[in-house]
Amino acid sequence: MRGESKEEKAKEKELERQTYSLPVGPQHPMYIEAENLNVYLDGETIVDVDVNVGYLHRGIEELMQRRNYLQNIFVAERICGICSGIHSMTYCQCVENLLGIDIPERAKYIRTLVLELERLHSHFLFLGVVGYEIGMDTVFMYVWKDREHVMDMLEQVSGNRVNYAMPTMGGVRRDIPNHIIPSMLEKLNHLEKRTEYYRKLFLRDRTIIARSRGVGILPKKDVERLSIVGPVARASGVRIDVRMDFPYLKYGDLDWKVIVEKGEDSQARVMVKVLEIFQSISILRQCLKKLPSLDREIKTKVPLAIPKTEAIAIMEAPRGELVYYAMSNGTDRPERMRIRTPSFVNIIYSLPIMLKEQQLADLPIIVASIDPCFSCTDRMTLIDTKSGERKTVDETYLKRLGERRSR
Amino acid sequence: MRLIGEALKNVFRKPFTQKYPKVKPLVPEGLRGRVEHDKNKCIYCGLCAKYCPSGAIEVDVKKKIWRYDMGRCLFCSQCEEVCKYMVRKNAITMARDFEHAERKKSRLITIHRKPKPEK
Repeated sequence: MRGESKEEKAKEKELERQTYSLPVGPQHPMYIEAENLNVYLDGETIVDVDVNVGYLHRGIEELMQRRNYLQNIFVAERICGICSGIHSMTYCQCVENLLGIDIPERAKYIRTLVLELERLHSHFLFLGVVGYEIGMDTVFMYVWKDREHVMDMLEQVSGNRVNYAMPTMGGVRRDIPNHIIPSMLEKLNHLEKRTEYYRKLFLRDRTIIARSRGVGILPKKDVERLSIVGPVARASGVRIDVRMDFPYLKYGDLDWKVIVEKGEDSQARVMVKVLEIFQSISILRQCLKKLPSLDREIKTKVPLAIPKTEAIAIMEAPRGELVYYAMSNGTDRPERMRIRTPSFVNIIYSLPIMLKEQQLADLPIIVASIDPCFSCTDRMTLIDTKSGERKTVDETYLKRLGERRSR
Repeated sequence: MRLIGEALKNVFRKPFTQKYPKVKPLVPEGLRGRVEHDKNKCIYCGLCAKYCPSGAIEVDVKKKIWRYDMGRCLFCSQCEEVCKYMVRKNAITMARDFEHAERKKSRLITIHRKPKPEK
C-alpha cells in the first residue's frame, strides 16, 4: 500500500504518466482476503504493484467478542474456507491456555491427524490451482480427483467435508472409530503413489519448468527482512516452521523434518508443497499407528466462564504461522480476540517484490504460487492512461494470455 | 506415444464421477445432516438456543415452543452435544440425510410445540 507522503504521491503520478495501470481484483470470493492489485505496466512488463486489501472485512473479532466461548469455535472455523480446521484448533488451544488445562492424549493425536489431513487437502488444492493457472487443465483435474480421497477421509473422521467442527475446549468432539483406520491407510498409500507422479511432473515437465522456473523470485534476504512465513519462506531457504520451532500437540514426538528449498522461485514454492505432502502422509501414518486407546472421556470438562487473564496460541497453518490472542474478563465471553493470519503477511509484502520486472501473463502463476486462491479473479479493467481508453477484461482473457505463453 | 496410451486408458475406464441424482452417494456414519428434534423427549429448557452459534434455534421457554430455521443452521451439531451432555435428554439428533433444498423459504422452518399429556 502506498503512503500519503508528498514524495510518494509524486512518484505515483510519475508512474502513472509513464505506464499503464491495470487494476486486478478485488473480487475473489474463495479467499479470506479479497485484494485489489493495481499493476503498473510498461508494455507487457510489470513495473510496480499496489496491493490493497480489506474488501472482505467481516468484523470476525468483534463477532467473537459477542458470543460465548463454545459458540466461538464455529465462528473461528468460518474465517477461512480452506484452513477451517487450523482456525478452530488454534482458538481452542488459546482458550485452553487461558484456563491452563491439558487435553487427553488421544484427543491430541486426533487433532494432529485432522490438521495434517487438512494440510494434505490444502496442498492438493494448491497444486491443482497451479496447474490451472499455467493452463494445464488436466493437471488440475487429476490433482482434484485425488484430493477427493482426502475429503472423503475428513468426512469419515469428522462428519463434514469442509467445516470439520472437530475440536472443542478440552479435547475433541468425537472419537475416531478404529474400524476406519485400515481404509484410511489404504487411501494414504494410493495418495503417496499419486504424489510421486506429481513430484516427477512438477520437476520434469517442460511446460511447467518454462512457466515456473526463475519466475517470481523472492530472495532470502527479503524474506528475512519482511518476516514472511510458511511455505513461501521455506521455498526461499529460510528454515521456519512453528511445528518444529514451538512444538504443539504431538509434533514434538513424531519423526519428521522441515522441508526447505533453495530455488526462491515459483517452482521451489510448488516443490515445497509437493514434498510437504509426503511429510504429511508420513505424519498421518505415525499418528494412526501410535493412536493410544481411550482411557476416559475424549474431552476434559471445562468451566464455561473464564477468570480474567490473557493467552496466546501459535500454530502452523498450511500457509504459515497463525496466531490467536485472547483476553478473558470473568464472564463466558472473551473481552478481546486478535487473530493474525499468515496470508496477510505473504500477500502484502511479497507480491511487490515478486512481480517486479515480470510479464503480465506470469502474474496469475506468481500470485497462485504463494497460495492465495487467485483462480477466482473475476474481472479487471485495462486503462490506457495515455489515450484514456478503458477496457474491461475478465478471467478468461488472463487465462488465454497465460495459455498462449505456455505454447 | 505416452499421450495416446493415456487417452486410450481413459476412454475405457469407467467414470470417476457419480451419477448423483440417480445414484445416491454413500455417506459415512457420522455425517452431520439435518437436525431432528423429538418433541416428546424435549423439556424446552432453551439451552440449545443459548449455545447455537448462528441463532438457528429459538425456544420459548414459557409457551414451550421449539423453532428451528434450517436456512440459518451451520450443521455444527452443538445443539446435539448440549442436549446430550448438559441436559442429558437426547432430544436433538443429527440425521444422516443431506438433501435439504426446498422451493419455499418457509418450508425450511420447523416449529414444534409440547404435546398435551393424554388423559
